[in-house]
Amino acid sequence: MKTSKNTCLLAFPLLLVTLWAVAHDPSEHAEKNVKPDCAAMDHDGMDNNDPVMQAMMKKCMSEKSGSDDHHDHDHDHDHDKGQQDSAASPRAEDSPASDEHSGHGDH
Amino acid sequence: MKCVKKLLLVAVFTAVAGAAFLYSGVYPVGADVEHQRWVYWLLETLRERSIARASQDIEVPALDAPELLLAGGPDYNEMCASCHLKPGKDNSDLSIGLYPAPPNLSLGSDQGQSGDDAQSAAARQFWIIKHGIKASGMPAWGPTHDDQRIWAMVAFLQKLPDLTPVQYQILTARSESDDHGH
Repeated sequence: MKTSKNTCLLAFPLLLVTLWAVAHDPSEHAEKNVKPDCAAMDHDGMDNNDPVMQAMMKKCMSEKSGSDDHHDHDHDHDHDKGQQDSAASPRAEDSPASDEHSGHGDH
Repeated sequence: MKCVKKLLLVAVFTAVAGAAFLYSGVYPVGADVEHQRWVYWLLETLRERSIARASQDIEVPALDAPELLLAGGPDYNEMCASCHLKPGKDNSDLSIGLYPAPPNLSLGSDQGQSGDDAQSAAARQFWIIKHGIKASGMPAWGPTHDDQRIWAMVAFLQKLPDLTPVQYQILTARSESDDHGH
């Protein structure tokens, strides 16, 4: 009985210490998923040797490729889904959903 | 012998008067009441001399890499901009309410404050970010951020005064794809 009481007394402060350590994780103050406003970037008089310009280009290129990958991924996902639908239903090509899918390729 | 006695008497009187002042509680410590000019000078001189001495041996790495700006920008925006402001923002609740007022780093006034060259200014900024400043509202980021991450913030500070609001927004945006090491 006395041992379990001591264990509780020890465990509670340890739990508090653990929570304190978690609260000080650097990611706590991170504001994620803020998109860079690359469309507003002024390209006039841009010096390609300027580290600021290089950093902005890098940021916007990675953002663009990231969104392209995401788009391609969605497209592949839709395409796969379409194939699955076709496989599941041989008459799926006649359906309006099939028209929508073929229209998606025009984007 | 008489002179020693007088000096001793003055020292005892000064110590007693100092203790009486200290325990009386008459000195205002509210952040909305400014220090006397001589108190401010004492504290500022103490702070600047201490930082200059502590940061004199810090070796400053190359700070021009664009990767450093991309790493330091989001950290500055999340950890510093609410007090030290950003392009297009002249004040905030914290910049107005803190005393002493935190320097507006988007104006670059802090970097040339002590007349140091760029290297010692960067070393000074690194030391301040890492260790903080007692009783000023400036926290020490060293316990939770490694040196590389702090140098990235210093690199961003070198460019901050010349950034437009649009450039600032692009460099400081932290998207989910930037989530390396956070």
